[in-house]
Amino acid sequence: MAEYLLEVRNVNKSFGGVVTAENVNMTVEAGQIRGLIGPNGAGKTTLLNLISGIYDVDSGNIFFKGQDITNLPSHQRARMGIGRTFQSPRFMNRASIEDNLKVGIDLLNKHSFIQSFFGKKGHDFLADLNELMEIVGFTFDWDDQITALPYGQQKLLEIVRAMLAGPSVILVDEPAAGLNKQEQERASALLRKAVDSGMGVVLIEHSMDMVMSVCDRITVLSFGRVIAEGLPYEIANNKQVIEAYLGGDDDA
Amino acid sequence: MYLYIQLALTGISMGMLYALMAMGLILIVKAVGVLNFAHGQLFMLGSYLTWMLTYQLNLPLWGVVLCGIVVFAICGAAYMFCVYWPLRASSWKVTVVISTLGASIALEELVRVIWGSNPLTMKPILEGTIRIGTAYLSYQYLFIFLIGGGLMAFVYILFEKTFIGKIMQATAQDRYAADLIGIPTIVAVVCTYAISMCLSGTGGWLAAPLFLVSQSLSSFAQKAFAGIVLGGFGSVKGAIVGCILIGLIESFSVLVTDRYKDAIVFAVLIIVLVVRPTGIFGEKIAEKA
Repeated sequence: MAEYLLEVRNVNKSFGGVVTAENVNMTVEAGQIRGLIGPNGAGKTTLLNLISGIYDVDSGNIFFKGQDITNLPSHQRARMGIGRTFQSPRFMNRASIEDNLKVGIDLLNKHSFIQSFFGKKGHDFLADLNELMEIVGFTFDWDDQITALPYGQQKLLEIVRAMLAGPSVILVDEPAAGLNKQEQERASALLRKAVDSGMGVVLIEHSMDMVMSVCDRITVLSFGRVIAEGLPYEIANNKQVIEAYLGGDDDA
Repeated sequence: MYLYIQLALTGISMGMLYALMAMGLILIVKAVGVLNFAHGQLFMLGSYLTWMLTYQLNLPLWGVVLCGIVVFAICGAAYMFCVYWPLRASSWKVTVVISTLGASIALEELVRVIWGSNPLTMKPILEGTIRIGTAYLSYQYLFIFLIGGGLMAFVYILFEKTFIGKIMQATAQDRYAADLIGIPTIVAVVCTYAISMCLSGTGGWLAAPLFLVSQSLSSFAQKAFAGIVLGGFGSVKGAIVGCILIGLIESFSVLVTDRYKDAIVFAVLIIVLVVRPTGIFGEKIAEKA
């Protein structure tokens, strides 16, 4: 049996009568980008929320590096190495870029609160940061407010923040939404860099160009069910997928 | 002239007391998004607890201070786990607000059961008065000024200069996201409640020698609310400035009337809000796209 970084096994979740995950199975290996696609309301973000612990599963299990994390709180999952970005960037809007990048990273360096209290910082991550900033192609002033950055740069910086924390898996929710072509390419380059470093990536994305170009395998959800799983070219030619998503009227 | 100086110092000191409570209130609002209607009772509880440490346990001043901090922090954390934590997932936020209203009644009754209904007296930190020209000012007001100012500086440094402060800020601004970057938000929320109780409890301790240790101390919360609104809801800086203004207005209103000074305070508040509904430092709240 292959060693998966992340495994979602027979997961079910419903809100009232609305089923958002029905017997969902999905795996992510190290160095792999797993695309997660489907029409709006298919349950993609819900699945990320189940993996990251925002929602509890109704039944089923989630394994991370072979360990059952189904009942762990979300911050513990993050500290174990599950990173996350959001459809809209979520930063401390009243704080500087420096604080935004360092919050979370220090915790993941396993610093205690007492050490934090006395201002002891984690290892110097400037080298990592500079390398990633070369990929995203812009610079910033540490002391600027995070909101001073344009939207596209905030989205890219959120991926950078997630990568700087050194996770094993990153859950990336619609990184291309609202980005121009050049920024989309930079987001793709960041994700490639992540897998080159041995991370696994779960990518939710509506941009088919991006999904087809960067993903190693793709899972397709529709109404909470997995309707297809496979290599990008298999998915692109899957009749059920074309009906449910790619060729549907609801072309999100 | 000296009378005005005395009134100004008294007003600022009273404003500091209100500000200690208001800061605690704002910190909780920022951390969990809920206004704590039992904050006046936490202030009152602080005065009773320090009375207990001083007169029932006979601790010296330094013992009262050290034990007070620990006891306040524990009470703040316990309050959080009793009043907020069980209801945190409630889809109707008002549930927690109602819980704080219930807690205010419960705390008043708890204090009555333990220490009775009669007001208790507490000696000031240092007895005596300081002479300013022809006017006199109790040392206690100076202690309020110094300790209040020191605590405000502490909170500023804690939140702006230390890492744990950043963690609390991150939690306050977006708990959901903070959780997902590995911040144990429960620790941040507990710390916030503990600090909030320390601020209010210290306020109660400082107010007790001037106003007696009694359940009526909880009414200080009205002035703290007024200061928060005057300064601009949601801003710690606004709460401090607003509360000090409330203290000054209250203090100087005795030049006109002693009996209706509270009415003057709230009349000024209403006028300010008519002219500037967001308060002095209030920001317009706009939904982000």
